[in-house]
Parts: sequence; C-alpha cells; structure tokens
Amino acid sequence: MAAIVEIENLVKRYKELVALDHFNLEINEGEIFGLLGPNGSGKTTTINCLLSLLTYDKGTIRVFGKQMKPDSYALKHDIGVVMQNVAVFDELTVWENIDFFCGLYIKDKKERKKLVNEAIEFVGLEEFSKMNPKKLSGGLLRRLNIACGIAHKPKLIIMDEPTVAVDPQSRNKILEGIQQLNRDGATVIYTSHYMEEVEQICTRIAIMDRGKNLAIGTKEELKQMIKNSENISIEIPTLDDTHIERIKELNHVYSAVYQNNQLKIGCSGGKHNLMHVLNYLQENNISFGRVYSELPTLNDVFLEITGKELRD
Amino acid sequence: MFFHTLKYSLKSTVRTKEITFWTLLFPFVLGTLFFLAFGNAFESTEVFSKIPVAVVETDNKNSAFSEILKSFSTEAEDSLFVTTFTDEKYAKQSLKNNDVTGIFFVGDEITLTVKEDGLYQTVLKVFLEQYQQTENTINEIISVNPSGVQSAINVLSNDTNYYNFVDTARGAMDPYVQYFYALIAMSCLYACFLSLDRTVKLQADLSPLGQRRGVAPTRKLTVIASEFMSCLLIQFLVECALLIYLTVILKIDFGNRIPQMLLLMFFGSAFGVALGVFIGAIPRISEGVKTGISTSVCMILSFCSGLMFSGMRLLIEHTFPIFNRLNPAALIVDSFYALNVFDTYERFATNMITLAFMTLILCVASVFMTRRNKYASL
Ligand SMILES: Nc1ncnc2c1ncn2[C@@H]1O[C@H](COP(=O)(O)OP(=O)(O)OP(=O)(O)O)[C@@H](O)[C@H]1O
Ligand SMILES: [Mg+2]
Repeated sequence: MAAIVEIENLVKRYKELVALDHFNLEINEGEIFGLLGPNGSGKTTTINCLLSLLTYDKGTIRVFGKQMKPDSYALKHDIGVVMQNVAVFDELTVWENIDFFCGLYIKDKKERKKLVNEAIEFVGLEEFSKMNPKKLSGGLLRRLNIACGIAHKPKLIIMDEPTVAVDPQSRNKILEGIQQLNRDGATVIYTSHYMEEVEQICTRIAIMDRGKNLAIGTKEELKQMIKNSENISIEIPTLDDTHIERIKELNHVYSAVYQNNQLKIGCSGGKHNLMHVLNYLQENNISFGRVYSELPTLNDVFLEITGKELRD
Repeated sequence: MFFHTLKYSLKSTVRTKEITFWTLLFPFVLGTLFFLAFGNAFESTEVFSKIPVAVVETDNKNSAFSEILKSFSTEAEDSLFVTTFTDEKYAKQSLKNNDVTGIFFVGDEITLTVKEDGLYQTVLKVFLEQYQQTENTINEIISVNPSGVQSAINVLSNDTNYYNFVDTARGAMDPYVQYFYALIAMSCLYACFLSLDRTVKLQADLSPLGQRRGVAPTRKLTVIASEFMSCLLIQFLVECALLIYLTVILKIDFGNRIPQMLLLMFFGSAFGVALGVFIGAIPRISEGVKTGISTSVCMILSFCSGLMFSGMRLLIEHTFPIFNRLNPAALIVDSFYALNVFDTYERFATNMITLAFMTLILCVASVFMTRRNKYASL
C-alpha cells in the first residue's frame, strides 16, 4: 500500500494560537480516512495546509509521493475537494456550476457532460439541475457542493464536513456513494462531527484535538485502546451514596455515577458485568426500572482521549 | 481554460442583478434624467448661435483685421460672429454683462480679452492666432487690392482648416453635452464594480469560492486574464448601448467621429475594469471595505470631471491642472471634447496614452498582488 498523503511534524500558527502542533498523518491508497475532532481542533486547518492554501510554520506535506506546492497542478488535478463552506456561483444553475468546476479539470466537452450528469445523479439533484443555488434548501446546496467537488472522478477526495444539514436519507445515499467511489479506486479523507458516519464508512480514523493527533487506527483498534468496554445505565428511584461506593468496588467496574435517577456504570473488560450489578441491586433490595447496556462507541473513545464529548 | 472561465464568467456576471443595475441601468437612468433636466436648453441651442464680439479700434492702422472680422460677421447663417464696433468702456461693460464673449483691441497689436474659458472663447483665440500667423500675407493682399477680403479669407481657411475646426466646434458648443461626456466617463469607471466582484471571487482569503478555485489546477494569471476579458467585453457593450441611447434616442449631438469614440470608450472601460481588479487584489481588506473604496473613488473622480457641476473640470484646470491630466474620468471627458473640437488628434492621443499607461500600471500591480496563492490565514 502506497502512502497517498504524508504529513510530518506540521506546525501552523495563527499569530499566538497554535492551530497545528507537530501534527503527523499518513494516509494510504484505498482508504476512507476519517478525521475526527471537536470544533476548533484543526481539521480544516490541516486540510487547507494539505491543499497548499495556507502557509505553515514547519513540517513537510507530500501528496502522491511529491511535495505539495501551490503550483503543483499535476497533483491538484487528481484531487477533488469538498470544502466546509459551500462554494458555488449563485448566478449559475446547478448544472452549470458542476460543469464549471469539472471544466477546471476536464477539457473534453463530451466527457465532461457525461461526468456532470453522473455527478448530478450521484447527489440526487436531477430535478434541480436547472435551478439556481439560491433557491436550493441548505441540504440540497450541500449536495451541490459535493457534486462540484467530485464530478471529475479524482483519485483523492477530500471532504470537510460535507453532510452538515443533509437529511438522513440523502446522507445515507451519499455515504453509499462515497463507498462506491472508494471501490472505484478513490482514496477519501473525511472529516465529520457525526460519529455514526465515520463508524459506518471509514476504514481508519484519526482523533485530533488542539492540533494534535491523539490516536489513530481502525474503529476496533480505537475501541480497544480505551479501558471502557461496556456502559450500563439503570433507572433507580433512590440510591444511597454508600451503595454507589460499593458498586464501584465490584469487579471490572471503574466508574459509577448517580444522577437524575439514573445510575451510569462504566466497565472495563470482564464478562457478565450487567449480571453482577443487577445481582448486587437485588441482594440489597434496591428496586430499579429500565436497564440498558451498550458497547463503547467512538464517543466513548473520544471522551476518554480528549476529555470532552464530540458533540457540543 | 481561458475560454471555459470566460464563458462562465460572462454568464454569471450578466446575471448578477446588483451589478447589472449599477453598470447598466444607472447610467441610462442618469442620462435620461439629464436629458429631462436640460431638455429645453437643448432645443434653444440647437441652432448654432453666432459668437457676439466687440471690437475696439485704438487706431486705424490695422484695417485688415477689421475687414476680415466683418466678412465673418455677415447675415449669412453660417457666419461666425456678430461684431460690434465700439469704444473701450462700452465694450468692457458688455463683456461684464455677458453681452459679448470677447473684445478684440485692434491697434498696432491685436489683443483679445475674455472673461472666462470656454469653447466660444477658444474659437476667438484660435481665430486670432490663425490671423496673426498669416498676417503679412493678408495685409499684402488687402493693401494691393482693397477688395481682396475673400482671398484673405481663403488664405486663413486653407492654411489652417479653420472651417473644419469651426464645424466640429459647433457640435460641441453646447455646454450641456459635457454632462453626458461626464456620464459616459462615470459609467466607464463603474466597470470596477464588475471586476471587483469577480476578483473577490477568485481570492482564497476573501471568499469560499476563491478557496475552492484555489485548489483547482489552474494558473491564476489565466483565470485573472479571462475574468478581465469578460468584464471588459460586457462593459464595452454597455458603453456602446449607452452611446446609441444618448445619440439615437435622446438625440444628443456627439459629433460624428464614431470609431474614435468607440476606441475611447474601450480604453475607458479597460481602465474601469483594471481599477476594480486592482482594488479587489489589495490584500487584507474585506470585501465591504473594498466596495466602499471603489464607490468613493468613482464618485470623487466623476465629480472632478464635471458630472454634477460642469465647471468643476475648469476649476481644477486653474488650481491643480495635473489632476486633470491624471483623473481618468477627466481624461475621458477631455477626449470627447478634443474629438469634437480639434481637427488633429494630438490631445486625444495624449489622453489615450495616459489612460492606457495607467491601466497597465494597475494590471501589473494587480497581477503582482494576486500572484501569491498561499495565505497565512483564510
Ligand atoms: N483565520 C484564522 N485566524 C485565526 N485563527 C484561526 C483562523 N482559522 C482558524 N483559526 C483557529 O484555529 C483553530 C483550528 O481551526 P479549524 O478551523 O482548523 O478547526 P476545525 O477542526 O475545522 O473546526 P470545525 O469543526 O468547527 O470546523 C481554531 O482554534 C480556530 O479558532
Ligand atoms: Mg472545520
């Protein structure tokens, strides 16, 4: 597997603020790579540096094995970008917008026409192809933004939170589309706040915060990195503090919090954790309502690594 | 790539409503308002009026000039002057009351006194200069043959194309036409709003579109060139339409040097476009501020070229003449004037060269500023 993107020791400062702090990343051919991080963690900055839009203070960036510079037109030709901010001409129709951006990469008119139509189908904007972007809803606009970025069938697709405001149905279609593009040979870099999305499509994930790459791996690898293996929550009307302390002492339980009539227990490793907890409650004649048990999600990984929830 | 960008730039520019209003509709509306305001003035001055002039003969030695003057002051419709022979006191009073345009003092030397600068005054000046240049010849003709005034007139007109001057001058006599020259100049400058918008849309630090286009494999110079071309094309068509509207519909007399006027409007549009690209390319200034700068620049330059008050250009000519040589709007107004008044192209050409040079400077500076396509902050 060849490395498509190599970022080494990247440092980017905005005046005093260090947006990227010795950031490292390597993305291989054929991956759908997820870049996960809370607001302001430096995802967009990473992408803009990678695309040579931003200057940086230190580090090297290589794309397709070559150093990336503003005039690396050959490299840029093979990259498709869906920016975080929608970038389309308000005065051009949906079709014209896609044709304009596709035309920056593909000269041949006939081929382009085919590609533009495919892109429109890809994002499901067939009905709207003659409309102006101003008349599109927020979600449709996002879909147009995506079409403009991927119409020319690039080898590397970079998407910065492309599905914000897109409804679940269209989002699923787009996610499936991205997987199809990936099967057709494209490598994808994907940033998102939706962990479900990242879990669903990404083959490898990096978790970043404050400009640092904190963890990297497949989602299974990431989940194994943390001690949490099971989350149990139980509805209990009343509970003494002494019981909470004793529940904490149970095997494999590393945290127990009682709040709003909910007991939340974090477990690491072990089997039958739920059974042990319920047994304890019954032995002590504590009545309880509904019981949930969940395997850890990326959010738990996130919480443990960065100390904050991914969602605001 | 050039033509692809050009095509879509043309498409989206003509569809931008705010911009089409300022560049397209506004000059038409203003032109119509001018026309309505000056409507009566036009009709009354449509017939060429003869220039009233007083002659004060201090002694009778130079009868030749008086004779020539008389021969230009006949009852005929195309004669130039209405001449009054009088004494100094009365002549000066008449000049003060604007009853006459100028006073010729005819003696050993012939001098001309005028109260202000203007086209009529220029005619008198040129008339006198031409006479003085050929004075010896004329004196000889008249002394040999006292009825040789006609031959003398021929000498005057043959040597100098004097009649041509007078003919074209008639078209531009009307001071109100100056407002329309200033209007065309303003509309040329307004091209900067077109190109400002386009330039902002290709700078990554100013717009999301600029960022998106910045990551495409296109040379910035090519993109700027095609955006420039599209704005220039649109603006030039607007100018042509405006010229047709003013001359054909409103029937304002701009003279008949159409190709030269088209050239002038092309240069004027190019300057306006370059101005917008330049302002758009200045780094670290937001789009709103840039629009403000463009508006102020257009207003000030137009005002100084006589858009609101036709005497402005003259006032500047007296107090700060270099500004008139450099103000593109004044240059455009002056070029129209020169096309209509002068037979030769010297003044027109000087203005065109100045305008082209300034356009070039703006373009070079813009390319220099936009060439950078990596930013410290977006
Ligand atoms: N132009 C700028 N000038 C100064 N600081 C900036 C600028 N752009 C970004 N920053 C700062 O750099 C940090 C990283 O920002 P960045 O946009 O890369 O975050 P992000 O991970 O993309 O966030 P989000 O999820 O909100 O899109 C933030 O603290 C932000 O405030
Ligand atoms: Mg971002």
